[in-house]
Amino acid sequence: MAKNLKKNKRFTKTYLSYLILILLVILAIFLMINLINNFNILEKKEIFASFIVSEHIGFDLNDSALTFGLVQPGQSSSREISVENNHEIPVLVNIISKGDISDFLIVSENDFILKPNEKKEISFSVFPLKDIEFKEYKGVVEIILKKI
Amino acid sequence: MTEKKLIKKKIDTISLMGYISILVIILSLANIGVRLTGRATDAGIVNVTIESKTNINFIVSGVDFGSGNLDLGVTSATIDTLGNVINGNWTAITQGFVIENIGNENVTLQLATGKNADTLLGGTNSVYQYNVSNSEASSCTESNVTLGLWVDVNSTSPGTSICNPLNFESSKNEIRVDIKLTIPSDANTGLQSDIFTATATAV
Repeated sequence: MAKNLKKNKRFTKTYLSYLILILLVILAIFLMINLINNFNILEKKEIFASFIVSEHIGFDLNDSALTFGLVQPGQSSSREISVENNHEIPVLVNIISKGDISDFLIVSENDFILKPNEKKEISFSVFPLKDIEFKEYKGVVEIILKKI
Repeated sequence: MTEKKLIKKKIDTISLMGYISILVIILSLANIGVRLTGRATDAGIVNVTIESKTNINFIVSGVDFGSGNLDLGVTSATIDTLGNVINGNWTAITQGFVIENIGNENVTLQLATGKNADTLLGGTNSVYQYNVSNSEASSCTESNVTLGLWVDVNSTSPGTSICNPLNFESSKNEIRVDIKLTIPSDANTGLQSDIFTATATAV
């Protein structure tokens, strides 16, 4: 009886050790992938973006955010940003969007290379669908510069 | 190899995996920590500038004149978004486009169309015009068009400057754009539509 109990205890201990090891390995793999992904990132800029679906048409030329103003369902609104590489090396520019604006946002160019001191204008457009709900749609545009 | 040695080897492999995992975790966390403290990877910096200009596209069929016909015996019919229907059976509509400046600075406003009267309507002596007026008083300081008058559309980009500036102040930041079409009896048939582009630039 005591022998069995000792055996069970040892089995549970081994089982727990394996479980912890597996979790450690999974965590390590996850962090490693993250580390590799982030290793090449030189810089990241976040820009707030929004548009309001309305019966009217409206402008909002806020120069610190990508505000597309009032847009009617089925119509479109565009704004531009310029990206300039002041690093001494060429960089890969990757643009991603987050939030509920993402479903309606289109960028003119993505995953492009900028040489040192090169500047490029990128156009962002929102296209709310005809049956879209009348409300404000917000999100964030991330401009990520990576080493090539 | 004895069973004892095999077990020892197995334990060594498992321990090694554990040590490597812990090392990777420590390195990753250290890297995150370094990044959070603002490590500079090189002296450069990217300049991201949001341009003080924006375009909004809207479709004329959005001002829905619907379908209709010329009255018998007439050479043309005229419809507009002020509720006028002359020599035709279109449904009268009274809703033009309303454009607002909801930002916090004055803007200049240009208006361009994708088509002109010939390309939109065709036929003989067709007319495609717009009329800009203040929806809220003192919103638009007129530029190259006179407020309240019908003018031919301009399909050459970036169009005609209509307000310089369009105010941003609340209760005087709204204009209305109405559309007028004169449809000759030999005009294009079927659904016709066009895209207006309003371009606002910060003053």
